Amino acid sequence: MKNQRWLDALRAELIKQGLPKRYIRRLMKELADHTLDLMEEQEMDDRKNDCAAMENHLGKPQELAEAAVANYRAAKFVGRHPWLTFLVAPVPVMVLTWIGFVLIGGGLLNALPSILGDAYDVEGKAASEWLPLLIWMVRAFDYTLRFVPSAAVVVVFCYLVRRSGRSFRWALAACGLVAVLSAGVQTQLTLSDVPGESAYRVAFGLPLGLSIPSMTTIVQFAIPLAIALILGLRHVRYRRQLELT
Amino acid sequence: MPNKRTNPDYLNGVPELLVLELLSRRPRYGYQLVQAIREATAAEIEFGQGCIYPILHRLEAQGMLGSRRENALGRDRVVYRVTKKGLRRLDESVANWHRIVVAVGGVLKGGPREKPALA
Repeated sequence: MKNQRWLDALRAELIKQGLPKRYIRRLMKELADHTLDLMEEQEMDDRKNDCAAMENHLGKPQELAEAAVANYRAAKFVGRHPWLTFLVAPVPVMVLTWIGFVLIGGGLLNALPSILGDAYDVEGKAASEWLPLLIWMVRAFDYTLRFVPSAAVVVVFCYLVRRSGRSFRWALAACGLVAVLSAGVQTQLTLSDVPGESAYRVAFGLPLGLSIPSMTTIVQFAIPLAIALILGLRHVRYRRQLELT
Repeated sequence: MPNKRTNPDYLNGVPELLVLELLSRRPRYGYQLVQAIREATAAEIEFGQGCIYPILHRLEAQGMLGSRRENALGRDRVVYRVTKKGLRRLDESVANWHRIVVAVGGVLKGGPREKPALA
């Protein structure tokens, strides 16, 4: 069928514009039905049923792809407001994620005695009296607070950019912000042998001075960026595959 | 065949208004909707027919339309219908449209034209 040329040209344009696969599939299916209806109604013969005739009825592939992108973006908040979503929102989202993470961790630690028994109660005890499993859990929490919330936020923003139909550069900008914020998190876990003196402190301070940042700070900065780059490469590979199929 | 310019800039928002109005009368699939617009406007308003689908998808994502795959005329098609939210939006759009028509009409009826200046 010669109308296939028009459909193929449109599909290539839609992929180039970075629209999600599901949306492209649905639009192509409905347009393919539409072209069949057109041909049935107008009894287009094979001579007339060429790309120019399709363009005349349905529009040029490039213009239609641009209309599809504009409408797709207009349908969602993240598509309409990329500056707000990817350059402003990462800061409050990151802060709220840390607060939520600390509250959940603290809540779990407080709930442990009632779930697993008094052996897990740390109130008024020296760290040497704590169960080894409990110490391991507190240390694990300390490490995860440095890396997991920022990694989770990066994944969310990469997902949002795909859903918004916007360029992946927006996600990279958001992830850059998250990486900088992540590098600023500092934690201090003090396990004291004096009863009731063990403490866990969380602070925030960006390493802006001339001093060389610690290895932990560098890793905290690098992990969100690494995740964003991996997801970005996957996004590029996925679009290339889509172009080939 | 020369390409028609089918979607002038001043028609911004008009396709959405027509889509909501026509779907509020009865559910239709894309092709039926294009035909209905052509018939209802005596072919005065024609946009690239393909553009109707991105508009339908946006209105659906915004909760103004619902869609269901149904068998119509021997083929499986996506049939669209207006939701309550869509009807509310339609009422607003119709009221806005009437205001604009009255306002523009007032300007166009304005008064006698000056003689054009000599170039």
